[in-house]
Amino acid sequence: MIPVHAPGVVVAELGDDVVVHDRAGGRFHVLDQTSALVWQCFDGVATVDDIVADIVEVFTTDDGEVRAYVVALVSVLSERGLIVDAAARPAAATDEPEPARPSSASLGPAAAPA
Amino acid sequence: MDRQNRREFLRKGAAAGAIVAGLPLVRSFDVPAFGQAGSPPVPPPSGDVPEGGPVPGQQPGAADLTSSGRHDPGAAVAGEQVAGGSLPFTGGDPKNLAVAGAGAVVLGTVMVGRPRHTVLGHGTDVRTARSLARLDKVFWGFESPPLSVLGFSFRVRHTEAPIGPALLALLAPFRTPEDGPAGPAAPDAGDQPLDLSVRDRGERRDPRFAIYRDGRLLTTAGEPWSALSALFGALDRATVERATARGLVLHAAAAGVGDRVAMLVGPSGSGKTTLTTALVRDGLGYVADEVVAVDADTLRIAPYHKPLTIKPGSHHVFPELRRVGVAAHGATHAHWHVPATSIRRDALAAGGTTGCVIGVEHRAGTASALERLDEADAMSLLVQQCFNGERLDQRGLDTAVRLARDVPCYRLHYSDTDTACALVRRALANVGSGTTA
Repeated sequence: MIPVHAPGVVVAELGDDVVVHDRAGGRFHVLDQTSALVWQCFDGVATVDDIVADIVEVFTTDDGEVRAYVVALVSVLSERGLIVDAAARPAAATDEPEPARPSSASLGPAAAPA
Repeated sequence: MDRQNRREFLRKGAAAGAIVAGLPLVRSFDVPAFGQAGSPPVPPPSGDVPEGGPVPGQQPGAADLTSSGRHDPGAAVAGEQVAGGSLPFTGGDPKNLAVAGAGAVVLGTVMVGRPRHTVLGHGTDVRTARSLARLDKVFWGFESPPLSVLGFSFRVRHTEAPIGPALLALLAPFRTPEDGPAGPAAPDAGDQPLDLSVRDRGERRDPRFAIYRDGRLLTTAGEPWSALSALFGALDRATVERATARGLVLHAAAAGVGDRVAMLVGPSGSGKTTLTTALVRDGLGYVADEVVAVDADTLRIAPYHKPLTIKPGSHHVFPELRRVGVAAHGATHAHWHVPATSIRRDALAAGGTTGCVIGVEHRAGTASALERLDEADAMSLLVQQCFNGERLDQRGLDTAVRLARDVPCYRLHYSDTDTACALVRRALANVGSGTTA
């Protein structure tokens, strides 16, 4: 799987955490520090295996534990509609991964200047 | 990012203390549909916090506002009443919904089985056009001067002339200055004034009062006070719609000292208005109730000086307002609509910087306490009481994050207003000091 942020999600940093607003699903999600770190790696290019390998190398920790963590996170975020599999999307879409912080200009009436 | 950048990014995370172990922690919470923040919670068993709508079996005649002598003592609120809270919104698409004040009748419920009255949800349809034409022929005993708030203008009409002076006093903070509009309340150029109208349909009609917005029937109400509740509910709704483009709009109240404002956040029935009224009595400036608009760039709170609505459960907290509350006249079951200036002549404050955010929760019989919230809890508090959370874009989300991150956020449990006022003052005094209250 090549995880990538779902289209339309809005993201903001909250200290070490990350807040993700799923406008389509009408929910807010707060990812803790570690989840937020891994979330940022979901760029539509790196596979889960790539990400696990890099984490194991950087954190010099157990491969099985890291894999379990990343797989669990991918599962949770997929279930909540916050990430999708870039490999399963049309080719045109995978050429340009979704940006983590979409422009406010495309986000409807609330984006209008005061 | 390429692999090298990813590793560098991960190294920074490791240095910052991230530990990849155990299970990921992802906290999720629902965003209320537009305008739906503030759904009433399960009411506390007792205490001085009001709970929602009128008391069933209310004493007839006790809320005669108009002094017209035409109040029907037998007329009770018919149909299904809005449950619980003071917030009149019913959620969903604001263009397609009824607006009802607490104690008013939800039209969509009342009219079940009477399809000829299904005026709601169709914009300017044939029926609305007919309604507009019919309203043009109504004799309005009271018509307000031009009014404005948060960038839009409006006017209020009522068929009963005797209510005029009282209604004018309630609406005084919204009056456009004689020398031209200025400041945050000034209407935008080209703004078409909104019409909010209350029509007394006579004592034989049940419910007796009809509330219109731009000619469209929004809701009905059985008593003068509940008609006013519905009227101000319609104003709340319009304010939320118009303020949404300017930043974050929260179901909250606000009072301050100088330029620093405490934002009191919480669902209906949590005691925001009761605490705000107590704070104004205690000397703080009145900034807003029900609707708090936070500027996305400056985090300043704009004034929204609607009358304070004191519900029956809090009447005993403010005995001095018994004869002040419009539409009340001492009635035990009615909402008292109170101009803040009748509590203190200099009560109105011009807004200010968000000094602290306080999640309010009344708990009868327990010790009052103020506790600091972490950023995630503060974010949860804000988003769940955000009228336009559903529509938050990057800018709006960033505004909420800035509030949660940069402004001290607390949760206040209170059982008596004196202690609560002291705790709010303490929270405001701690602004910038880095200490917790």
